[in-house]
Amino acid sequence: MSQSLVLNSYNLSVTEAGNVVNSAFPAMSRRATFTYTKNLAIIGVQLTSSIIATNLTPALFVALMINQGSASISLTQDTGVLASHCAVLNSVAASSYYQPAEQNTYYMCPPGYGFFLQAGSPVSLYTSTDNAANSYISAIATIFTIETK
Amino acid sequence: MKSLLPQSLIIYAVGNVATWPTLEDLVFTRDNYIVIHDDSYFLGFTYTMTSSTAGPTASVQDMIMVVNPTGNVIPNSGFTRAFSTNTDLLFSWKGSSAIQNFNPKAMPSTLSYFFNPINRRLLRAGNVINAMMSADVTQYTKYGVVTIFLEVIK
Repeated sequence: MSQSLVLNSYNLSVTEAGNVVNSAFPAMSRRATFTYTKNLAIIGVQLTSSIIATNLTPALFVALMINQGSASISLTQDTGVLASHCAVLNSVAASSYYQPAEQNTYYMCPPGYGFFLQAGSPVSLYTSTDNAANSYISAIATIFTIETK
Repeated sequence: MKSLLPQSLIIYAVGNVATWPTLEDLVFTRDNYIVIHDDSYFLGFTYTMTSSTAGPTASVQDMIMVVNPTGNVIPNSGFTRAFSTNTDLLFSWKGSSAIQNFNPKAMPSTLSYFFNPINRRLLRAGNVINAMMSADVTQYTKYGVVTIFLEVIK
């Protein structure tokens, strides 16, 4: 006998123009955030991103992050440091050099598992691009959740 | 429902050789690690890589993720040294821009993987998860994020 769960989905979207002029990997410069008002479990995530550029080099990086505390989420450039209690739930990268310059990634947690978030915990979608020369990116995250008691 | 604990490692590598390398030339120049604080099951991971620059010159990068049950942080100064005593390989990945030039779809930049929960691996408190990247050509910087998913045993 199968069991059905009522799923909720939340969407975040970000668009960004290139923000640096050298090849160093940039900081995550644009962010969309929402905060859960109920206790929830994330049971799956989906990311879609694309890049439009007039030259060959831009790369993009998109990260969907959660903070199991209540503080804002930060990701510093190149240092590999994530703030305490923060984690990247899913990420996607692409370069206009490699066509097609769209990427999609998706997963569902194993049955019976989820990422528990307390009410007040933020979820953020970050994007970056590495070249300011006429590059634009867009990204959408869809988060599948169920409510928990 | 059980709660998964996600923990992320951000790793990157700067190209370290000027010509196409042999396997032994690939030095894992940058790494990061996580110390397991509580006994946990290792259920899966996601991995994303990108390059700060791209071009027709072949560029190779690798990533390996290992666990060291003894709690030692694994040296990042060479491929073979990563497989020291008591070190088990959890995952490895290889990408090449040369391959992508011919077949852009050959190397996805992102992957997610969950093990069958029945076959999950037990990690003890004090174990170290270590992820390392390499890059072979000096003008390239590679950048990656590894997120591991743990179920903490209460």
